[in-house]
Amino acid sequence: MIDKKILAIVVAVVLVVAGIGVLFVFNEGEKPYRSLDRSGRLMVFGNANNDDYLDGEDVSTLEKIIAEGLDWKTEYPLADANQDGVVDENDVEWVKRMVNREKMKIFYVDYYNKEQRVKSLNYPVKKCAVVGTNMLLALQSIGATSKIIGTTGEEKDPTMFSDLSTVFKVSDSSVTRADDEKISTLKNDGLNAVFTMDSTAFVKNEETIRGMGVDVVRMATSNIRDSVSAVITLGYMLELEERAGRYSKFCDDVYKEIETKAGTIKPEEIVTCINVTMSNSIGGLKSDYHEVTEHVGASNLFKEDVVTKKFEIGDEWLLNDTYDADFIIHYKQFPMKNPNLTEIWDSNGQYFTKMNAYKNGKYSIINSYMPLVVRMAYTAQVMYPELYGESYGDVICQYWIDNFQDNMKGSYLASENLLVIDSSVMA
Amino acid sequence: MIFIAACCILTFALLCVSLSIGKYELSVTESYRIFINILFGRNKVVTMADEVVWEMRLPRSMMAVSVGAGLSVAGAAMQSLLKNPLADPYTTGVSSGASFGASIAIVYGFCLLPSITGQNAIIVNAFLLSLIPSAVMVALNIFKKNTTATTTILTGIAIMYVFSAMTAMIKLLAKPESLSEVYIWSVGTLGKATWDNIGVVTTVVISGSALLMLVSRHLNVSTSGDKLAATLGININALRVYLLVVISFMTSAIVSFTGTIGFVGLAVPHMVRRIIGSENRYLLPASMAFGAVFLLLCDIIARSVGTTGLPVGTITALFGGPLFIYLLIKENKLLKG
Repeated sequence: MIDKKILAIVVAVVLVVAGIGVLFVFNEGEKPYRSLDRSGRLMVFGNANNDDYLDGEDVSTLEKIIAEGLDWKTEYPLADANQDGVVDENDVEWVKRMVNREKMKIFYVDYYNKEQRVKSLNYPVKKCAVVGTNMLLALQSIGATSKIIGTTGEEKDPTMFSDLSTVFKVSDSSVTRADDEKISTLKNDGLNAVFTMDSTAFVKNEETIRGMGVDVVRMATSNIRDSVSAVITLGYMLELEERAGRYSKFCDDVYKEIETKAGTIKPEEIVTCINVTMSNSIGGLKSDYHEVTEHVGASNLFKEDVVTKKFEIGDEWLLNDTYDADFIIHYKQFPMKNPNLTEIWDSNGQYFTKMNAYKNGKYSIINSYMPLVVRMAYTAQVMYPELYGESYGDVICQYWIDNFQDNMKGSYLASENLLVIDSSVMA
Repeated sequence: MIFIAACCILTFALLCVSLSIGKYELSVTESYRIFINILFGRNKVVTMADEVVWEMRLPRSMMAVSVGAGLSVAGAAMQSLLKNPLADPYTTGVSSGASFGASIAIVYGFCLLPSITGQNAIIVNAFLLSLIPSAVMVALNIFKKNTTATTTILTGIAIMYVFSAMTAMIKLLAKPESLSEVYIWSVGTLGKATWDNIGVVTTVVISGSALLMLVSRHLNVSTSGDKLAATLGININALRVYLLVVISFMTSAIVSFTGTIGFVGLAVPHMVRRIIGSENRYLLPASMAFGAVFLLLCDIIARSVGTTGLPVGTITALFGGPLFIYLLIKENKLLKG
C-alpha cells in the first residue's frame, strides 16, 4: 500500500516536473526574438542605446548620458530625440512618450540618394502609399499590406502582389511617380505617409506631397545592412515591430549563415563574377548587388566606382580580359509563375553572348521580384552549389513565403517554379 | 571622278584604321594580324580578340560604309526631287514610322509578324511601319493630281508628327530600361552590325543607288521645273513616285537595322554639291562615296569617345552640325561677295 502511495507520489512529481519543463521550453520557444545588434539599425531619434528597439533601455541610456556627461554625438548618435541639438531632460520626457507609443511627431534618419538626412514623421503611420517595388516587398514582408492604401499603377506580378491588385493607384503606369491629385485623393481617405526608395528618381514631387501634410519616407531597401535597418524602422513607424523583428531575424540568420560559409572558401576556390541589373547595366562598386555577390564569396571583377555602367550590343569594353568572369549573374524581374523563358533569356542574354561565362553556361538570370535576402540565397546557390546546396535558394525562398509573404503562403512552392533561369533550363 | 576615287581610297584607309579602334585592348599590329589571318583562311575565329576584330569591328565598319553611302545618295536624290535643300531621306516620315515600330517592339515586345522576338522584332516592326508614311506620300502623288513638291514635304512632316506623338505616348508608359533602349535606337547606332544584316543593307543600298542613278538625267531636268520637264516628255508625277518608292525602301531597310542616324542624308549632299556641283549624274555617286567616308570617320570617333564609346548618331550631329552651318555661312558670303 505504502509502495503504491510512493509510486503515485513519484509519478505525480515526474508529471509536474515534466509539465514545468514543457511549459518552460514552450515559453522559451515563444519568447520574442531580441536582437543583440548595437549599430543603430532602428534609425529613429530616441533610440539612444543604438539597438533595434525603442524601450525603457533608451530612457536609462539617456539618463546615463545626462548624469555622466557622455559624448552622445559620437557614442549615441540617435540620442537627441527632439532634435534640439542637446540631450537633456526634454529628451527623456520625449522618449518616454515614444516608449508609450503615443501619437506624436518623431524624428528619423531618411535616405536621399545614399545620403542621410534628418526628417520628421507623424507617428504612427496608419495608412500609407508605396512607390517602389523593393519598398513594397519590404512592407509585405513585415505584414503591412492592410495599411497600404495606394501604390503605383504599373503592371505588377499577379502572384507576388495578388493582395494589392485592388489597391488605389497613385500613378497611371509609372513605377516611380505618385501624382499630386491622386495623393490628394488618398489624403482625404486618411493617408499619413508615402514610403519610397532612396533614389531621387522616385517621388520627385516630394515637396508638394509634404505640403499636403503627407510625410514622405525614403529608405534604402536594396543593400544588406540598410535593408534590415529599413525593415526595423518601418516596423516601428507602422506599429508592426514584432513581425519586423522576426523578419529582421530571418535576414540576419541568412546573412550570417552565408557569411560563415563564404568564410570557409579557400582562396583558390573563389569564383569570379560580374553582376547585371536592368537589361544591360553592369553593377559597379556602388551597386548594391556588388556587395551581394561578394558576400556569398565571389570576387566581382567590375570594380569601377559607379553604380552601373551600360553595356550595349556592339560595345567592346566588357569583353576585355579584366572582366572575363566565371559567372554572369543577372538580376531581373520576371513573372513568379509561368515565365516566358525564351523571351526572357533572349532579350536579356543577347548582350552577353560573346562572353565566355555565357558560352560556358554560367550566365544566370535571378528573379529580382524577391527580397534581397532571397536573391542572395539564390546567388550563393548558383555560384557555390556544393557549399550552399543545390536547392539553397528554394529553401530560403520557401521559408520567406511561408512566414512573411502572407498572400502566397500555402499556394506557392518555390521548388515548382523557375526563379533562376540558366542554360540548363534553356537546353 | 577624281573626287570619287579619292573618297574610295580614303574609305579603304579609314576601314583599315577602324580595325584597330575600340574599347577592347588590342594593339594595331595584332588587329591586322588577326584580320589578315582570318581573311586568308589561315585562322578561324577562336579567341575573343578574333571575335572582336572579325565579328564586331569589321562588320561595323562595313555597315558604316553602306549606311553612309545609302543615306547620302538618298538625301541627294530627295533634295533634287523636292527642290528643297532641307529634304533628307527622313522627310518621307520613314524615321518616325520606324521609331514607332521599334518602340512597340522594345517596350511591349510585340512584333507585327508572329513568333519573332528580340532584335528581329525591332527590325521587322521598324521596317514595316517605316513604309506606312512613305506609302501615304506615294499614294498622294499617284491619286491626287498636281501634287507639288511642297505638298509632298508638308505631308511627310504631318505624318512624322502623328507617329512622333504615338511614340511619345509609348515612351510615357515605358519602364526606364525600355526607355533607354528606345533612346539608343532613336539616336542611331552601328553597334548591332553583323555579317548577316550587312548583306541585306548592302544589297539594298547598291540596288537602290543603281535605280536612283538610272534616272539621274531626268532628275536634272525636274530640278528646272515641272513644266519644262513635261515639255521634254518626262512624266514628273511618275518620276516622283518612282523616286519616293526607291528612297523609302532603301531608307527603311537602313533604319530598321541601325536606328535613325541623323544628319548624314542632309549634310553630305550639300558638302559634295559645293565641291562638284549639282549635276545629279555626278552628285549621286559622289554623295555615296563621301557619305561612306563621313559616316566611317564619325564611327571611328564614336568608338573612341569616353569609356564605352557613343552611338554614332550623336557624333554625326555633333560633327556634322557645325560643319554644315560653317558651309552654309561660307556659301552665303560667296554668293553675296
